[in-house]
Amino acid sequence: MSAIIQLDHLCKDYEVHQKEPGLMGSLRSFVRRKYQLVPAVKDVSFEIEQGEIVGFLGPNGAGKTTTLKVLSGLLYPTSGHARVLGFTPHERKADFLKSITMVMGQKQQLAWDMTPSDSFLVNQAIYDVSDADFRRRLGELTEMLELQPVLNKPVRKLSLGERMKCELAGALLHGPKILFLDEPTIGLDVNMQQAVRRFVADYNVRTGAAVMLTSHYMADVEALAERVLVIDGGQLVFDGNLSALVAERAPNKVLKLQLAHPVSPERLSVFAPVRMMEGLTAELLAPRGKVAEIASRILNDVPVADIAIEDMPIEEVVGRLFQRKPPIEAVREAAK
Amino acid sequence: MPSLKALRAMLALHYGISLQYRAQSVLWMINGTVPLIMMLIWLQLAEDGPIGGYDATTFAQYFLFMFLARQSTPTWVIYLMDRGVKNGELSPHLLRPMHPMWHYASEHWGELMARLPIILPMVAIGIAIADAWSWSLLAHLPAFVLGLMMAWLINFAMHVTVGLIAFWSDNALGYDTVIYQLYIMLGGVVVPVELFPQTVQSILAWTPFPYVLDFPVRVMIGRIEGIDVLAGFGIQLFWIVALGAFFTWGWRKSLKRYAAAGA
Amino acid sequence: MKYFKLIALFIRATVQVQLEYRSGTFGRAFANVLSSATTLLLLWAMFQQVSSIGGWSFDQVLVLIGIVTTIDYVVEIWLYPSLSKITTYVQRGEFDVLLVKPVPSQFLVTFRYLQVLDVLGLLVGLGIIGTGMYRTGSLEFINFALLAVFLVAGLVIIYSLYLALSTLAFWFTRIEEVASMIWLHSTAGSFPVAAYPPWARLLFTFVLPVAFVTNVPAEAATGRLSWEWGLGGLAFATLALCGATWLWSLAIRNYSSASS
Ligand SMILES: Nc1ncnc2c1ncn2[C@@H]1O[C@H](COP(=O)(O)OP(=O)(O)OP(=O)(O)O)[C@@H](O)[C@H]1O
Ligand SMILES: [Mg+2]
Repeated sequence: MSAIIQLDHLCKDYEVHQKEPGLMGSLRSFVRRKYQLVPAVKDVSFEIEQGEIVGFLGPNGAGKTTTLKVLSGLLYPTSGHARVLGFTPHERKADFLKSITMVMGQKQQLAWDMTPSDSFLVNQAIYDVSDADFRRRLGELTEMLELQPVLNKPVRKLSLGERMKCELAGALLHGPKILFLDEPTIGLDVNMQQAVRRFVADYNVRTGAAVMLTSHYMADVEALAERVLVIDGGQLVFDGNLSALVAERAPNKVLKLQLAHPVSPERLSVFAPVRMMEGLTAELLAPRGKVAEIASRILNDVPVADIAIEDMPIEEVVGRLFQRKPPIEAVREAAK
Repeated sequence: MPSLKALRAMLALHYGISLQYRAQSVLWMINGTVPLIMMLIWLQLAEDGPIGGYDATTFAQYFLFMFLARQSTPTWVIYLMDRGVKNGELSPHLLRPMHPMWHYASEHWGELMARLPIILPMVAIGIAIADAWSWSLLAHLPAFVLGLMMAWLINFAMHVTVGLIAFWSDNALGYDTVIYQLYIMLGGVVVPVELFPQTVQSILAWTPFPYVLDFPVRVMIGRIEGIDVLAGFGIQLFWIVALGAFFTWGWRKSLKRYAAAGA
Repeated sequence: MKYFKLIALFIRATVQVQLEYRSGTFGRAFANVLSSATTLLLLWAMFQQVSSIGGWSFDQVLVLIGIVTTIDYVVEIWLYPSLSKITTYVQRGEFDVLLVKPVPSQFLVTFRYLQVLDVLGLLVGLGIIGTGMYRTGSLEFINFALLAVFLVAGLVIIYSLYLALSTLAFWFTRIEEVASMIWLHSTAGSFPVAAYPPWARLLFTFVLPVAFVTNVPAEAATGRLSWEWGLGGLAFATLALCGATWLWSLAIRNYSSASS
């Protein structure tokens, strides 16, 4: 089977008008308005297969939301093509819209003054969900997301997180085959973040739905996605396995030392760059191939109470990708 | 096109919402009292005899049913579209397998269901006070209701078409006032269209405006009869189709410019 | 002096925002002219059927329409933008920000938003008044002077009413709908009060005082103002302003003591 999401050289520009500050600036822009095309996504291509969960990472303003909006048919591409389930998204065919869902932050698909149940019933009718399916799915969602206490409260009285959970539930009631989740865990407490992750993973296993997920919480991505796409400044900078990303972008491992006596950082930096030094704990960066050798030299030379060898935390690996600095420089800065 | 079940669910939802905002209904009623104020003026003017074929009873009937027609057809859809485009509130509606206009329309219908129970007694009381009841009104009722439903569609189609400006310019609300003025002023709310000078009437006949308010009201009070009623329905239908087609074309063009602001 | 400077600053800020939304500015100007044109068309149509309304001739009603138009625009570009924010401040609890400023709060809420860009409508209104005065042959200095006085008095009444209604927001939350009742003056006030049945005349004199707001200035402009109505208008304006200011200070006192 071929990919169910295909993105082919997508570009999306936004039109924004420029304004200089001050009254004169306002006046000038009133008379002659200058428009500028801001490229948000530049030549991005990828494919996603059925059943995949893909993490979509990138710093603020990288173009993640824009890409998801094109894939869900909200935006027309400036150039390039998108195909999702064999449909062209922006044509917004009813069959297409019934097979996808998009969850965006606090976008209100819930009626503010009514209860979530009221809105769910409307969704059921709009998406032609049979009563049996509706009851089953709502039951599952209610249990996993602990919705019972909030189902019959007016939405405007719900807390941020409660509202987010209901948004998520409302977006899944029609059993979509593709989930576009734009920061679905934003505003949730740690327990609920885990519940949402479990739910998404479970949904993916049971239905074989494809999931595309953006999040600034690395834990979401680690828990859910094997494959990640990294976008920065509108360009795709990485597409592959999360572990490959770590291997490629984090050539160093972290040597964690627990020292027996205080030692000056200079003395440690002889072996490898010092990443962090606080009292009796220190962290050194050792290239993958030479970890063992460096470790044994340190053990011979320095009073070490305990030693551990770890991978770089994913946050840092990805964070470093965004900084677009050669890793070595970043290391030097950290050492200072 | 949503299923009937979906329509019913949306209506129930919006009816529920409107019931919570009774205060807003009061606002509509206050803003919609222009026909009542004009009735007072014209009744006073007609004390010395009929004006242009309208005697006091006709004026009372005309403006009371004008009040009802005015209260049954208002629309704030340009405001909704403007906000939808500016803040991206249109996005969730675009993601549904249904034209967003169904959502907006059902919002209006739900609100109407909450408002009519206040308006209808007011009209009845008005008729009683003005002593303007006649049994022939009952015979015209079905045609009046049909005319009003078509009028609602014309007015809605007119407004959503103007609302497309929201996609092209940063503030469509200014144009909301324009279309609103035409709908009120040329619809007969202030001066019955039959009392306009002949030239003005014949120009107006080429526009949809007299078919939104004046036409159904005149059918109700028996000032349009027989074959002319059918002809009027035909013209109403024409406007619905023409405006609807124009809107559908414009919607497709405009949607390309939607920037889905937010999030 | 400081207050004039503040007003200038407020205007500047508002204009800057308005310039941002330029087609909105065009749209509003277009709507204003169009609405005046249709109003005049309707008035003309009415006078095709009758020779006077409430004893007023076409030209006299023309002056009245000019005054309604003028007042309407002042409401639209000044009173509504500024005073309608009161309910928002209260609902969002942003009022404290105003109270800590070393300027009377009533001044701040009154002059904060002056959308001077929309003056076109004002010119249209004044133009209609001028035309009506010319056609009734009342272009005399004394009439202009009286018109100015009673137009200001009318504005003061509208301002006071609006301020008072908005001030109720401190006690009742969803008041903005009621406050928008203020727009009724432009319909009801477009006709001589004498054209209404007697019970409505009382209503329009003392409850929604369009008699003082629009009728009296129009009579002044056409040299027909009786001294009773003139004095009544000035008295009503003074009372309304004092009442609204008193209500405002009461609301502020209540608010500060409640929130501390
Ligand atoms: N409606 C819009 N009009 C103009 N520019 C926009 C619009 N929406 C987004 N942009 C710009 O496009 C770029 C990409 O935005 P996008 O929302 O896709 O970023 P993102 O990767 O989702 O960021 P975040 O992590 O902050 O959500 C940004 O520079 C943003 O300022
Ligand atoms: Mg985003």
